[in-house]
Amino acid sequence: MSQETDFEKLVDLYYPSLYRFAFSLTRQESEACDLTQETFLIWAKKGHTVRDETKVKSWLFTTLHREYLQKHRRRVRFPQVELEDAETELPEIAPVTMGNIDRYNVLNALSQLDENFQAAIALFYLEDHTYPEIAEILQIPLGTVKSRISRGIVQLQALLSDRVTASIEREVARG
Amino acid sequence: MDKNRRDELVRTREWSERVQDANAAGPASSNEDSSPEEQLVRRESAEFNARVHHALAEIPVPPNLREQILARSKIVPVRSWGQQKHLLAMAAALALVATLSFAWLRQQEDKSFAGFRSRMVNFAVRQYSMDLHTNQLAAVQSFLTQNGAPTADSWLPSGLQGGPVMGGANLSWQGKPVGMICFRHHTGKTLYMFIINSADVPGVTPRFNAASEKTLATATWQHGGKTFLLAGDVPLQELESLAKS
Repeated sequence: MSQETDFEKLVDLYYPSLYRFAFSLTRQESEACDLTQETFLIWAKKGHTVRDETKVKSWLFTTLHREYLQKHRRRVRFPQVELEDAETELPEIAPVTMGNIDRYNVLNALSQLDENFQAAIALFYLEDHTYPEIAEILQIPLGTVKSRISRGIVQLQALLSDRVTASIEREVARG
Repeated sequence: MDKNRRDELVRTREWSERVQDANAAGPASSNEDSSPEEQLVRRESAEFNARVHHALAEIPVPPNLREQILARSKIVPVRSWGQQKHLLAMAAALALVATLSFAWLRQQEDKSFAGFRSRMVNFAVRQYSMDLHTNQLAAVQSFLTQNGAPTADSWLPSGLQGGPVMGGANLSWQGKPVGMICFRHHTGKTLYMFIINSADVPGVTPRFNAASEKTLATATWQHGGKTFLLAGDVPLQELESLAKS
């Protein structure tokens, strides 16, 4: 099997999920395409250093995330999150909220999340990433992954509840 | 409810067995060792997370992204140096000959605007190689800017505004940077727009000019200190109207 065939198979296997991860971070098609292309370009040059086939997926997502961070240098450094400071009460989710969770609302809400949580939340929901895989991709401890995801979900629930409430109020006002 | 337990239940993922949290015990329907509050939190979290998962899974992937990736990432097989010695020697000799030939030819090349136009048309007719394949004009502009090539900035003739972009390339002429942006004409033909700083092209005429060059129609004009050359295998009058509008 030629190297080109192997590369094409790799692209076919991972490019949709990589693109969706990139899009969930950037919310821009052009930037997400560039990040995805750049990731495979880097793989073409350096992927031969990955000996363990089970690490390929994590390597690709790690590379994409690193490229994303390099393009957004103004991002704050990740602070240490104390679990004791986290909210203890989940906001109530009205039944109507579930029906209005579409990708537009989710992506908008995702963009408003604490920047520390966005990548972890995106990986949590996209594909079948386990917590150890997410920790490896983001280069953070396993415990930190779980705490960021928990807090991120709580923020996401609150944002989506607010967004739906505002949407319903506008619809009611229009009659 | 214990804070850690709540955090685990909030992360309930039930759309795939592979990602189910090992610490979250059993499905939502199980009543064993779970208080009513825990069951409620797990059930609501599972439903919420599943919906968000499906919403993100619906993000559409651009249909031409695969081809863009394959075009941009060329695989070069690496061989051992020992096998390549004789090939390296031959390549070095050829490179030397090519360099000397190129230097001599460049001395002979027409360095006027006519020479620039002829060179760019030759490139379009014979080579046609884009560095970046994308339908986003902003991405092409950004790529050209990052590579030091002139771009159209925020200005384009109205005939090209909103037109389907195909990609771009970072070129050079007589050592001067040239930006190229490709558009798809409604006939399916490709329109090539070359951009060079006017100061780099001696003798360029400031007024609009349309002419045929080899097999392509061309139109040239200046704007903002830059010279634009639009070329394509379309009727000259049509190209002229696209560039002039």
